[in-house]
Amino acid sequence: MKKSWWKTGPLSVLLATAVIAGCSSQTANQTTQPKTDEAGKTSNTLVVSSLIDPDTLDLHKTTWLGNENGLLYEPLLSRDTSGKIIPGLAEKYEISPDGKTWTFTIRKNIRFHTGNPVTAAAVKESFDRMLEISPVKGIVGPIEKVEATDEQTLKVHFSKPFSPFINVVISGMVSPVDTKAAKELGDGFGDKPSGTGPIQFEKRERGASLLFKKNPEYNWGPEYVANKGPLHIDNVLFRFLKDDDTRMMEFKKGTIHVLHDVPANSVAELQSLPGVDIQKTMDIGIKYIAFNNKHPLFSDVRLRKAVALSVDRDPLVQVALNGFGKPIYGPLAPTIFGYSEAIENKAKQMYTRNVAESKQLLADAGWTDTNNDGIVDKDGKPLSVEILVSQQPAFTRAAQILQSQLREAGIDLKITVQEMTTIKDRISKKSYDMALMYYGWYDADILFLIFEKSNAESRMHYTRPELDDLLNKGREASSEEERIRIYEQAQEILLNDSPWVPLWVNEVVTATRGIKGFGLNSYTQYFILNDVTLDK
Amino acid sequence: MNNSRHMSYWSGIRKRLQRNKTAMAGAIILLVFTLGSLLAPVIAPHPVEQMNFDQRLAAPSSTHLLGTDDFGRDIFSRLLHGGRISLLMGLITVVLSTTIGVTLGIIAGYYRRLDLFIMQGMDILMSLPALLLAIAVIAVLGPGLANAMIAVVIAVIPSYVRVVRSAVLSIREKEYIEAVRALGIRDWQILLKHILPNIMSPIIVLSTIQFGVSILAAAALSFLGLGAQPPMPEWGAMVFVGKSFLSQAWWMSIFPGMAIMLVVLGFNLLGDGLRDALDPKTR
Repeated sequence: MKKSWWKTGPLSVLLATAVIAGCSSQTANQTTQPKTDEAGKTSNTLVVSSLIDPDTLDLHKTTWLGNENGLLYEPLLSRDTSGKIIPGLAEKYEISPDGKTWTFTIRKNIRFHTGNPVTAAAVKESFDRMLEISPVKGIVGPIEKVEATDEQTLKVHFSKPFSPFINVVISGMVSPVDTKAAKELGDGFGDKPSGTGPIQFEKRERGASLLFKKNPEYNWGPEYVANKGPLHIDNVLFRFLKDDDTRMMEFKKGTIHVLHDVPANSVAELQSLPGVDIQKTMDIGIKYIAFNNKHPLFSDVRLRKAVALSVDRDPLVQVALNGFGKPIYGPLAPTIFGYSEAIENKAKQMYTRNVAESKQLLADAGWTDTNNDGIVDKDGKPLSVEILVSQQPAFTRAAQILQSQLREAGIDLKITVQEMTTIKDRISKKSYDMALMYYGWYDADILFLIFEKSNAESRMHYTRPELDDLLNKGREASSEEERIRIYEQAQEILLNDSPWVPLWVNEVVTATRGIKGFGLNSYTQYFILNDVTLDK
Repeated sequence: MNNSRHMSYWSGIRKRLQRNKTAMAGAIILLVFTLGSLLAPVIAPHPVEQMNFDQRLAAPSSTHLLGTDDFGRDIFSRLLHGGRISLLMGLITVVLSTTIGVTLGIIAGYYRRLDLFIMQGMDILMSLPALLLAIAVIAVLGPGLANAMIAVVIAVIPSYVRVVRSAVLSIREKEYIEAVRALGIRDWQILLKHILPNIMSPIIVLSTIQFGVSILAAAALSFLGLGAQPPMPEWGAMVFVGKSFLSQAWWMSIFPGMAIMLVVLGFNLLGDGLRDALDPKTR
């Protein structure tokens, strides 16, 4: 047989090397690009691997804040790493005795990234823009008007007292935005945002990366960091790598300094690598089973409790999350204002797994296993329910464990994996039995946002006038102690009615390598970059 | 054509097939997997859904022949049960796509006026990569095993139509067909009694190979998270789940992957052997 000379000859080697050289020069270009963009030769860039490319960098147009779009801006108030309220852009704040007026004193000599000064008037403008265009303006509560009484004093007037406002401020959703620049740029503001944060926008490649440079003017770092001035690093590059294997590989290769949201089953592997530092933060929300409380089955509290009692949370955390989480029995996570240890203990007592009691509740409701197939039935129909689960690995794994746990109580659980948007749609249409869901927010007011009757319509369809009263009172009460007391009562109603089954609180694992001084604030959920230096 | 001649035609094919070693190897592989799947409830050493958290990610050993997965479920037992899903799914998709594909192919080949419409429809389907087409179908219908099967059926039908149509085209011009037509026999009788038996061999070969293709396609869809959903022990889905544990528990994806490979290989070897045996030129 005749061989093709070009397959074996020297030309093939040449071809192959050319191809390889082509590839490598291309990849080299890609990785060095951000560095050469920055002027200085001493340019040092912190590379962060993050999962979600933010929809927009315009704070007033987004619904969701991560480090990528959150660190650009700075809140008026913040919390330190132990949860204590500390000044942010506001030196101090004061609430009027009737609870309706909040007065903030804005710091002097602060400038936006564009150089425009941050005055009380500028902050007022920012509030006005937020109230006008933000898709999440509902979270700020019943604001009547915002006024700047002098250069430094900002007054926010409410029609009714609204205590959760403190956590709205801390969340960063109402941080000052440079509205002067926003007016000039119009819709383009999202591509050239201006705030007051320690990093400022430099360049964006949609879906791939976001490059920030340090804010050279910055000298108002929070109390809990050593470096109050500009960052030690020149640039921060966020790279959006979706595939876990790719992210892990890049991190191991050393091309990424900070690996955010480490996949749970890779943590052990990273821990064994030299020079890798692992940090964990508790999430500010919980994952839970949402019942359709209007469903013919789950409108019966006995069935809801039967499900709640057949759940064992430890294997969920140990197996589905590889131990990176904490079982939760009550409605609020420990990082959320309003969390009460007494409630959590009570919830634990009420809902620690008890299959016998679960079966008893089912029997009381008329469900018994008459044909000995392991599944309880009533009028000849087996108890079979469907749970909607999104495609996240932790969720699908948890669902399988729930399936085996519920089966022991005699409940047949069918798992349906669907897109989150489809799940939310089915939930608001009441065409579901159960769903594996999550929430995240900084204040117990989340219970209002989930359970108050106007909100319950699109969620679990559970309504209870006494609960609504308490949740409204919780918004209006002025002292923290009083609010905690009110939310304890509200949580107690939720414990007794069990309209949902709280399951666990995630621990977000972040791995760092080749850097020093990196921190995480679990009360704000943001990175602390002020003291970060790169090893060289 | 008398009966004994007919018998000897098929027995001759069987003999030729038995002489073909690779085809027999394929047949034996398939026999082992079919028996294993059928007897799964009897021979599986552990209950298929039973979770055992103390035994998570255990390496292959005497208690767990092929190790355990992240829930401590026995992989060998799951493979046996998963074989039922994979083989049954292959069977259903092949039966469905053969029925639809052969019907369309015969119509296109025999009724020349309909040919253009049917074949243009098929050309449209064939212009899309089969897997991409299947993914598009699932995007419309939603993920799940039944929808994955529908997607695979739609994706493989055109290949049947092509093969059958060209076979019919060559046979319909033969003198004996002209003769039965001259006798005034009805079209459907001609199709069923005179044309279909004569195009059986390409259909058999194609079906055997499509069996493997369908199983592979369904596994691929499950691997992408679009087919069988957890906790179903479908092989493709098992490879998918095991992927994220590859560095700690290679056995989670390697064994189901090998099962897929062996079954598809078995069907391909058998299919190749059948083609050789049915080909009149190699007689």
